[in-house]
Amino acid sequence: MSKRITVDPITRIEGHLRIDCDIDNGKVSNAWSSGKMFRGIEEILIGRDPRDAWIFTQRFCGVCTTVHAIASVRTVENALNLEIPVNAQFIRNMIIAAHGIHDHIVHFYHLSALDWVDVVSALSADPVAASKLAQSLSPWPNNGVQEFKAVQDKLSKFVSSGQLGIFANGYWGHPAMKLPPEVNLIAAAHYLEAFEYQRKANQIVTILGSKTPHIQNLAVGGVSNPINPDNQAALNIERLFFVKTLLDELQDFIRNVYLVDLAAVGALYAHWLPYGKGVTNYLSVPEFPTDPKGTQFGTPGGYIKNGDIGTFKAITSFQDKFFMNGVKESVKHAWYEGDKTLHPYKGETKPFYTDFKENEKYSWVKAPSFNDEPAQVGPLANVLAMFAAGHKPTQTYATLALEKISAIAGTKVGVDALHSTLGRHAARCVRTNVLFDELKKNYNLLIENIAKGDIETFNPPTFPKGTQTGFGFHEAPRGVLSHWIVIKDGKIKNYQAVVPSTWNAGPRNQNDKLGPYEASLVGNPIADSERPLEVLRTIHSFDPCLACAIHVHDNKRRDIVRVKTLSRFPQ
Amino acid sequence: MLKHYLDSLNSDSDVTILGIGNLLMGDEGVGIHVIQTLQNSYTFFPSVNLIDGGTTGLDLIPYFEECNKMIIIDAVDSQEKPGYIAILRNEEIHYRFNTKLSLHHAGLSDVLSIIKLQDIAAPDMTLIGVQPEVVEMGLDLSTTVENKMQDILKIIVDKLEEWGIECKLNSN
Repeated sequence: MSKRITVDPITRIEGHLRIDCDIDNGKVSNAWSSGKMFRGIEEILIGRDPRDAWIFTQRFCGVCTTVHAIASVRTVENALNLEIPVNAQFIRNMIIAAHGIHDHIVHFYHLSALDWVDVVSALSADPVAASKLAQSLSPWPNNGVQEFKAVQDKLSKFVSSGQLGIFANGYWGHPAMKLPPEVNLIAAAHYLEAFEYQRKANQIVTILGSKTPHIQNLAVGGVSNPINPDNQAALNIERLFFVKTLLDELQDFIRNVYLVDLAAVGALYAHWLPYGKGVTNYLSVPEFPTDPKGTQFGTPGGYIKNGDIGTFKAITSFQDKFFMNGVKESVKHAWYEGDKTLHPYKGETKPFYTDFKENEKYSWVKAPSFNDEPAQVGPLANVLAMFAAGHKPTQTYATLALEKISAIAGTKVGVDALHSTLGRHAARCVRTNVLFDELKKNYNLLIENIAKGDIETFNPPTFPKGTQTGFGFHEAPRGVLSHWIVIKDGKIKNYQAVVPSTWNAGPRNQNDKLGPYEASLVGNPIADSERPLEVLRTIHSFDPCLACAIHVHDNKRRDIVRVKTLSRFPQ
Repeated sequence: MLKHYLDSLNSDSDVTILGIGNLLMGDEGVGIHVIQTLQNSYTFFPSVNLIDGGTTGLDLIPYFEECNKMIIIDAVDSQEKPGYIAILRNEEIHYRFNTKLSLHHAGLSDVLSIIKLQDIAAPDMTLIGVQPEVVEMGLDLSTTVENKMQDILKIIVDKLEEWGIECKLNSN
């Protein structure tokens, strides 16, 4: 019997996403991803001063604020051919890396771990056995019996209070939950510790960006941080040393906790490695520019077709034509007029709502394509590109993660396993380690450059008469983010944001090919269609966030993840 | 540049006023509008921490930890007429957010349950929840909610004075 299930909404946090799946013989046979909120937020920018755009764009989304600020200033700089001082690049790079680390830690522990970890099961764990196991895997000092016992007491008190809060939506006791109680306890303990470490990463963003959420230090042309090693009110040695202290503490957590937990979950769920592959065209962009123009980068990016890393084509600069010409968006299956596929410079946002029609229009998200094909974006796309480009740190951490997974699983797990739901989690962890190295590198570059006497942070922009176009990209935590601008006589004429969740959550494209979420669900096992945990696992592995992906506001907020199960063909 | 950060870091104040909302979505941004008004129009002695929390969730946890007294302002659906002001205290906040309340329900309710789990909630917490009229793209508040601004400010000022903080309206 074929059954249709609808999961709505699917995100634990901001944003509206509905997933419909057909289930045949315990597996997903077809899927539709529908963004349920129209915002048209780019229109608020039309007619404004391009120098102010980033202030607005970073409020596009309630979750990933910093990334829209970065992409926006790069976009205007690109339109003006404006180079920026290297100090500004280093400071932006540190913010990007710290924000990314924060975001990835939060995603793994706080937004997706509970798809794999059964917190209630942790209550029945033996803290002594848990400690022995954890200490065999990692030198982390907080894996002692006392610590685990304290966590168990805390959880037990919380669960018995009846106000489950953040744990209320979990599928406790679901047959697809496979971790032994001790591993659940270790994971729960690190879930709690992770709050402290994501905060340290965010403190770095705060010191450099002067405020989170919503950093205040950017400017078209650089950053507004005055550098003065001796001045209390400027970016001085004391503040920079504080950044260094935070860095050292973060390193231990990323290497000895996150990487180890990822390996344990990956290994103990090895039977899940074949699931969730989906679209294997991967798009990412280079990041961490170290020159004024954006031609030298710390981490590579580019395009991989059909999962074959031999096809890798690098994107090499902020001016890259291969990227600029490759991006288009289709509205054939989205609630906009017509069925056009347009380049972002020509992008239109004319709503045309039809209700959910699975063979016609069914989403507020447009379907982006790269060279007319759907593409998956995110840490996996980025890690595969860096791997293909021969980026040493990526190869080192990817090998380390795969070796740890293989050791715990007792079977060889290779790079091919990355094309999967769990692979997206593994890639995110590998990328966190790479981001950490970049954070440290850019910290050193900044200190060295200041020591040389260079304290420049800003090149003032000038706006000529006439029309300029520009684009700016950023390898954000959820993948490729690009902003596109048309400036006329110093004012914004058009502005489009093609965001990571649009790439991944998009509906079928101009050629009716499934988007990455949709394709990745096909073939997923569903043990209990009343409680489709497996759907959540695969979609959450993309780190979905739709608050900015969809361009009126659906006021009907729902309390919890709701699952509708209905028989598709009346029996 | 770093003044805001240093103030928040070095501040002796144990009072935090946290505004939550999306400034681009009309009345949804009421919490942020209140923070901006407090910043521009008042001087507090001793000083208080004024936080524009945007719509972020987990990022807000440290602000709860770092103070003893807290006022949160947010757009809240109390199923009342637009402009209605709900005032909730301590346990009441946790209880109501466990059901359904804020337009940022998911984010803020997660934060509240985490601070409860971690036992780091500010001991004295007040939530001012304003019933929105218009939640769609736009930078301004609706006239209905704008007309409630003085009422909201009075609730905050009364609370602060109860806590022994002098609130002076700037003359300009």
